[in-house]
Amino acid sequence: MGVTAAVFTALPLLAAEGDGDWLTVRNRIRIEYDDNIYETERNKQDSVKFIEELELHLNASLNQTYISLRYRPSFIYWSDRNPDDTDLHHDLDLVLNHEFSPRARIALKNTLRLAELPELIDRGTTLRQNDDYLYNVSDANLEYSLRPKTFLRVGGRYTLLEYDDADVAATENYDIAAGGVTLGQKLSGDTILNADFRVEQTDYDGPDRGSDSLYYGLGLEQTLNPAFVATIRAGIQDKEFNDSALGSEDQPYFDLVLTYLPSPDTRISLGTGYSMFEADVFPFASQDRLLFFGNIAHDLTARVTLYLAGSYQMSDYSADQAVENDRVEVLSDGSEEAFQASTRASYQVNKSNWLELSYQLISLNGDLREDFDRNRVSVGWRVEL
Amino acid sequence: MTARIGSTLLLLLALLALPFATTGVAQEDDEQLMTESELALKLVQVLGLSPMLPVNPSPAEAYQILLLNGVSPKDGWNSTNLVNFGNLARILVQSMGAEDDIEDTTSDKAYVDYLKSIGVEFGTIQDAIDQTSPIAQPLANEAIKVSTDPLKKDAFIRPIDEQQSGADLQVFRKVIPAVEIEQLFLAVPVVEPKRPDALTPN
Repeated sequence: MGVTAAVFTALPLLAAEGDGDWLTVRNRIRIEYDDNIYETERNKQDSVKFIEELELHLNASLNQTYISLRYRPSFIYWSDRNPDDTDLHHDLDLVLNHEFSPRARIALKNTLRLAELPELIDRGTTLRQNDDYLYNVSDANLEYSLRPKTFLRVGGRYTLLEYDDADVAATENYDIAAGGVTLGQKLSGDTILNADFRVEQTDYDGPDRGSDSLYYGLGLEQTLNPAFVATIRAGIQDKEFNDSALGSEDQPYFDLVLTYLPSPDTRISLGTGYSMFEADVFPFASQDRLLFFGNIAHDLTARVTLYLAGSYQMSDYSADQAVENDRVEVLSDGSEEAFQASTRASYQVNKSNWLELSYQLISLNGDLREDFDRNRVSVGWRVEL
Repeated sequence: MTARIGSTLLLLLALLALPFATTGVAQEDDEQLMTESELALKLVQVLGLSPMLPVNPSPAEAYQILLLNGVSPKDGWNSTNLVNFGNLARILVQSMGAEDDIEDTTSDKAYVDYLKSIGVEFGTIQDAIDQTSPIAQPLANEAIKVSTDPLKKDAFIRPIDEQQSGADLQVFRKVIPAVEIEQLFLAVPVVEPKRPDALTPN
């Protein structure tokens, strides 16, 4: 936080050296109807919500240095959520890039999320615990050109997740330390080939669901035609669980992202990925996750834009990868599917005002936790000052 | 394994120090020359897209988010092409969201003339970059993208109702209460400690 405060102080001074707009202020107000605020299968509770979201984005680009600081607090009032009918979330993103020379550049990034989500108590039974949390990711990355067409990228990352509630924290808190190196070669102006090596160490506060992983992989970045860019990464992950009873596991992983611009009015991005990943469900130490996603934007007219986004996730959990604990015992494997879709229509009233209409769906089906569907519809006004 | 990871991290730190040993090198003379990949990496900064990208994004990651926001040279992004005046004008107009005002999008001159008509002039690439402002409604994959790279993977946890780029999505994350965990799985039975046999006096 000290670094952030220093950046807040120094940024206007640095920005004065540059010419561009260094401060962007946006505000977004929405009225939303949410049909299942607690994400339950039965006895759904609906509510109308008032959502106020402010965004302050300081952006200073100097000759060799770039600093970005984005603070985005959001306040939510729920008409039908007792006893706590308000939430306040904070997002803070800091990006600091510096070019030492045309051959060497360093980048630092910090992503902080503070969120509230109160517990749900029904007739004296705690149906859902308080899961207010702090989530922080710190990244450092350095790129160095060894030769005109060959570069080396070295990076490190530290991720921290901490819940306020002691009972939740006992099983869900974790920290992840990761490091890695990428050696890249430009085969042509359109094609870059990468070789990746990564290490990752995951630790949990409670029963030891942690693991150490090594990743060995190759990546390809390809401009297929002027309006089509693809990136693909694939390799092997060697995961050794901290709990010796679980042993270790080797599995392939891959990512694919395709971005296509069929016309200036339509932009499309599609992707998929598969890997072992941190488990969402206690007491499992890992999940095998396959995910598909897509994002489409289309300008109907100069003022009206339609957005459509969706993701579909399939997770498999093995009973062999459930850690021993004093609370529950897992006897069988499990799986679940999570589907999300969202659409938004945006009408630009004038240079700095937009009206928005949006719909969102979340659906979870599986045999590890309660299934649910959640629908949200909102109307909003967005202004850029 | 932990020892292996520790020694690997030490090696990475040593590699990290490598460029600092050579950064006293003076800037190259050809500052006026810039490749399209260098321009793309600068553009994602001034267009306010950096918070939506991994740290130190690759050229392809920069091209993808620029394409998603309708910003592209006439013949697409190419890492080794040098930036020319026509493409720079085109990219500047696209960044302003003003391409609909261009009648002949095949003509570089149309873009240059448009910029002149609204009073935007630049003599160098840096001049042009300095006159670029953040995109008002950026589009990005940050809400839905999946990455298996431990240095880039996106969080599956985000505040509820977070505004995402493009359409809104609430990334799925639900903490399972203890009651539900115990209903789903078999609760471990509490075993009473065995009471010692009663002692019988000899």
